[in-house]
Amino acid sequence: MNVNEQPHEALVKLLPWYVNGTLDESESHIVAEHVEHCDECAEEVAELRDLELAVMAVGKEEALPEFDGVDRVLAEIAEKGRRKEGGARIFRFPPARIAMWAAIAAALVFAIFIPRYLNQPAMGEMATLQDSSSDQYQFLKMVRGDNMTTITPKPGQSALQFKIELHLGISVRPSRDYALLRCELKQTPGDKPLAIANGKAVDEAFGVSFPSDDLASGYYYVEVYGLPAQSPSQEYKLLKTYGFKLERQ
Amino acid sequence: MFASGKTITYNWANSACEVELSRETNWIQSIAKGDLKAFETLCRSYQKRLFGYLLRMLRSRETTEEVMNDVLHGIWQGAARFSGASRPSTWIFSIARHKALNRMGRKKPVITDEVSDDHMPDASDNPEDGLIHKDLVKMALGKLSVEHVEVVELTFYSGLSYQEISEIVDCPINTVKTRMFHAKQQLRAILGRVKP
Repeated sequence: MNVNEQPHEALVKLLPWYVNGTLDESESHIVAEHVEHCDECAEEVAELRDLELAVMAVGKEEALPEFDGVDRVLAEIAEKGRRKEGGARIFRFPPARIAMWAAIAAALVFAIFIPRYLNQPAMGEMATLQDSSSDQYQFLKMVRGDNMTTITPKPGQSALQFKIELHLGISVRPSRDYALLRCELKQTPGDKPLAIANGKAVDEAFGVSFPSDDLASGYYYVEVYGLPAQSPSQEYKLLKTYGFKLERQ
Repeated sequence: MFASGKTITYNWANSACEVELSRETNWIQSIAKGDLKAFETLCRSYQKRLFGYLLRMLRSRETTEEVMNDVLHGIWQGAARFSGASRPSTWIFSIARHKALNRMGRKKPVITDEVSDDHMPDASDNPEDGLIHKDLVKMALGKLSVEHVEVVELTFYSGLSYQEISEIVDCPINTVKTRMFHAKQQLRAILGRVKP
């Protein structure tokens, strides 16, 4: 994909974040190349840099050097003797209140989650996976109306397939930065893939499907690779590693 | 073509951004266990950015100080519920926004920075040619709606990405971009005359 093919209107909207330096590397590269050849955008960038300086100057002027909010809150917390309790407020609740909240939570689970789960179609189940963090990998949370951390196919669904939508909005713009995306399903990162699927970019997310009838319960990883739009070497680049737990009943 | 089964090196976890992210996440986890030192470190690193953001939304220093107090307590009390599903900065600014909106719901924001057109600072006040006069910027920001000014503030003062802003203000990315576009148009209408 040629940089010049990127619509000017789309790139103009990225300029504020190009100026504040938060675009990811590939996005920033595309914008920089465009700005180099577009007088209108170059002028806009200069104007935005002025605005950024002014906004920062206003902010610095207004930030009270004598503002003692942190000290005050620290003193208040210390005074309340919360050092040992930390943030775990729930344990300060009386048992009756804990029981009440537990009952409400249980009722919500049964009222909302269970009917949706039972109504899931046998084929083409949607598993929308979102970022979560762990020490080593970015684990995914499955969202199917409710937050879940585990994918649980129904028993006896031998032909069940997952359609996994990976929302990569945080640092990857598949449709702009990468000509192709592909996902590899693995039991261990770096190993030979159990399945490979090519993703179809739709806005800022793309979906892939893996046949999961042969997968046993356990932890799995999805490695997402992208073929950079401007890559002369045509080499895929590892973008992210996701993980999820599959639980068969 | 991609060669399946090749050795893969995970280099993304080593980036400065990831390290910072990990450090802030560790602080929040420590706060959840009652670590006041971690709380102080985290709050001090965010204090100025949060204050600037809240002041722009609430437009009153006194109210901002009060809400800032609530936000810091919110961080302390909510640390145990931080799941890591979002970035620490997103989580912290979301608390701030929630507290600010609650306050605004109870009491209309007091506009203290607004300057009448008669007293609008002139470009000639600016000793440095080409730069936008900060008093004029302050006045212009005061004229923007809360939805517009918070996007400008989170972008240029707090230095957040559009994805993070999208999560904080709880609207689609395209809405963030559109709000920024309109905010720029309004700012340009006011600030245009100071441009060389």
